[in-house]
Amino acid sequence: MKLRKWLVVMLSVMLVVLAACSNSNPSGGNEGGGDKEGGADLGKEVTLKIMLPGDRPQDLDKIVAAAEQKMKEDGLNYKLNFVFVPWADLASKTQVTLTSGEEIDMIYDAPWLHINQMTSEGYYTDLTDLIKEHGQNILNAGSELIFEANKFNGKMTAIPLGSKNGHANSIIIRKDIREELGLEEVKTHEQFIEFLRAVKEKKPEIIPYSAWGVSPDLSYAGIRIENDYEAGFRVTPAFNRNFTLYLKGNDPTVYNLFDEMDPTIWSYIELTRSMYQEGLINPDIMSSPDSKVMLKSGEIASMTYTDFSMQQNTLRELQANVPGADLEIFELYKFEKNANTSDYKQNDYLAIPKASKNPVDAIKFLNWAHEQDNYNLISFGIEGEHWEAVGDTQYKPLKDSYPWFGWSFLWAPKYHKFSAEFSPEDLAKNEFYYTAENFEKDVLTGFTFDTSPIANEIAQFNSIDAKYYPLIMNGVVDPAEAWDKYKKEGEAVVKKIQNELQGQIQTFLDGQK
Amino acid sequence: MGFFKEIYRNRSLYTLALPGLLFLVIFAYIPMFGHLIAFKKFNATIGFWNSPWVGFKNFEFFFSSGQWLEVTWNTIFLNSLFIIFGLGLAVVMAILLNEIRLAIVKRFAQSIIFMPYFISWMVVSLMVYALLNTTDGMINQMLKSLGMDAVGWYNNANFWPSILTIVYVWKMAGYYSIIFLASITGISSDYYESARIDGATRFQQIRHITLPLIRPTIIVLALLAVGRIFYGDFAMIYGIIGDNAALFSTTDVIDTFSYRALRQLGDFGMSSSVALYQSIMGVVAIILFNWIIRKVDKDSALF
Repeated sequence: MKLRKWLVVMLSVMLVVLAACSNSNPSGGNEGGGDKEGGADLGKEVTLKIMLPGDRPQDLDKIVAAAEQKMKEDGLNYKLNFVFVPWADLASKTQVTLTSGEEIDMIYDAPWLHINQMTSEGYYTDLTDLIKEHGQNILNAGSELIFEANKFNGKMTAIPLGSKNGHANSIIIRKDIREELGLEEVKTHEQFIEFLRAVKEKKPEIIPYSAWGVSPDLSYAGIRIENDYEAGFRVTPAFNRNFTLYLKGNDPTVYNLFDEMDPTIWSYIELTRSMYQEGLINPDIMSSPDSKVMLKSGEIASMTYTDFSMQQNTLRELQANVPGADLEIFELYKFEKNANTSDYKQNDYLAIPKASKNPVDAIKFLNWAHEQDNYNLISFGIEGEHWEAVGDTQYKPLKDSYPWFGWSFLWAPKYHKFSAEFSPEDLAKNEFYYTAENFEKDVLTGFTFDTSPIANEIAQFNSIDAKYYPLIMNGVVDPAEAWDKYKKEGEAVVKKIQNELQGQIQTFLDGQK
Repeated sequence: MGFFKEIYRNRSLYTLALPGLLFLVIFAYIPMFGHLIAFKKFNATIGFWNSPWVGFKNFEFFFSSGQWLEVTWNTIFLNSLFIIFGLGLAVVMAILLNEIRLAIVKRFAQSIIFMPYFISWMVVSLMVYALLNTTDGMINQMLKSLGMDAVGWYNNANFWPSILTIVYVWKMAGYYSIIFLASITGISSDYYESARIDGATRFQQIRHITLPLIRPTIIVLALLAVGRIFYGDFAMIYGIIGDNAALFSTTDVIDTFSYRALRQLGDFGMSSSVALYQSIMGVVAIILFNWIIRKVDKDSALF
């Protein structure tokens, strides 16, 4: 009869597992009714559930308690329930949450995640009227240009976070090495290459230059093309890291490098190749780990940098490994009014799902958070404990237990504070960059490329692209030979994608007239 | 009514098999319906049944790319190397381990060769990079100190089938050798005793007793591996090679190829079409391999 006992045990284990599985779902949503300590005049307590990416800040509970207290004083009886989803599960978890209709009141979404898909399939509430009625603070905190440009099909279905404009790359250089070699500060590309040669010759143990080999847009050729203000090359909405299809200036015509190679682009590719052959570029650039890691460990003397102001923690980590090391930035980006275009599209959004039972309360809460003091509390923590103000527009963190995660949920340029570690020049650059009015409006502002009619071609091109383009742009292979192969395999699909893209752009422009 | 009679007669045994059968049904048979997605323009938001049928459209990106033959060949070639050298060396190691007489040395050796199995592929890839990189990789440093030129390992695809095989064997052979060792331990010592009485050398004992008796284990493990010969070890290949296009010509396997093609699109239908292709080819490979085994040794065949 041992067998029967075993069966009983097995079955009960299975039952417990099944019960645990089916129970886990409804638990989150229904906490609102619980404790009723708030006064009757505040109305019914509402729990707002907010789903965000990343890790839960250590001191979040403390800040939430302070915020709830403050809201009560201001007449809002809200509880905040933050749910953090690890990056690796973000796409699937948020999609399942939305499609299964779980009651979430605010959720993070982004173009690289699934905001276009979710919006067009109607999962997000249209906030246009709600915000006008209950969220004036939100509208007042940002530029109208940004709100206008971030509408989806004419509806404001998500609140854009921040106000970035395009992307600005630079080259970061080991200042201490440059000074040791007796060179002047790098202001031109000729000086930069001179610096690389000097490193190669006098510091053979250090790699002169590296970048993220797998991101061809960050290769030396890539940043030269992107920052050539005379030619004004820009990537198309079809391939965001590849210049095989490109735009010139603020014009909607899509050019194709397979039809005609642009001599300027080709000269950058050949220059990069000669630098690679000369040993100025990391020979293992295609397989090296994160080049930022290499910079921090002191292995490389320069690299492409995806920011225009230096992040002090990078410098600190470098100095911990290499005492006396210092960094400086070789600027490629022009901080001049109307020198750059922007379609004002943001990278991060906060949406209110249709499944939410409390859309008005969610907006009221956000409206409350868009007041300077409340914004400070939620963004930076408790003043005096987590941060202190430096001037009007900067702050200094005092603890690591409440890192800024507002980029995923609350980020209004008007109230935002920059890190106190920013120098006055960095601060000026940041302020320039976050001001929409400094940019020329992109002709394609508001256009989104629908890839579904040519999904097969895109998938085919992705694998051809990965096979040749990063090698060509990083100078790892002979460009003439590789380009011929690349063209031979890719020409037909790229042509189809170009035609589809140009057609959709035309329809979009016709619709605007 | 023979079927039900049989079930009833051996009911306790079948009950014992029930959890395993349930597991197979839930995790192996039911998901097979998922292959239907390969023929649909699947959209999670409207559900499986509402997604439209698209025939073979999802297969186009793979089969019209001109690269499918290359990646299929790479997958089979690399996996064959892994199977032959991985299992081969595991058998050798198991036999050698078995010959160690001092228990403590044997246990120690066993643990040491088993250890790499627990290291994740990401860590292995960093170790490989530390060994092979051009600037300060250990191997290139050694070559330089011997007065030779540094080798650009990461720029030459021809080296990589061998490098990957060495890495695979280093990591996995210890694991398989434990399985073989278990089956060697199961061999009755009577055989060895009588062989010794007849004056057989150690080598003869290995050749005529150990090897024939562990042959079924070798064949079963090989069959299982052959069933997955069309699946590249994604964690391994992508961990070590990543997106280094200079090495694709010998190392790009079906899994990494389709990952690269589809990672931005996130299209379920297209990825399912590749999975279906791999499954069908896997079945074909098993049937073929089993047929060969049946010709050679009828008793060892699976079916």
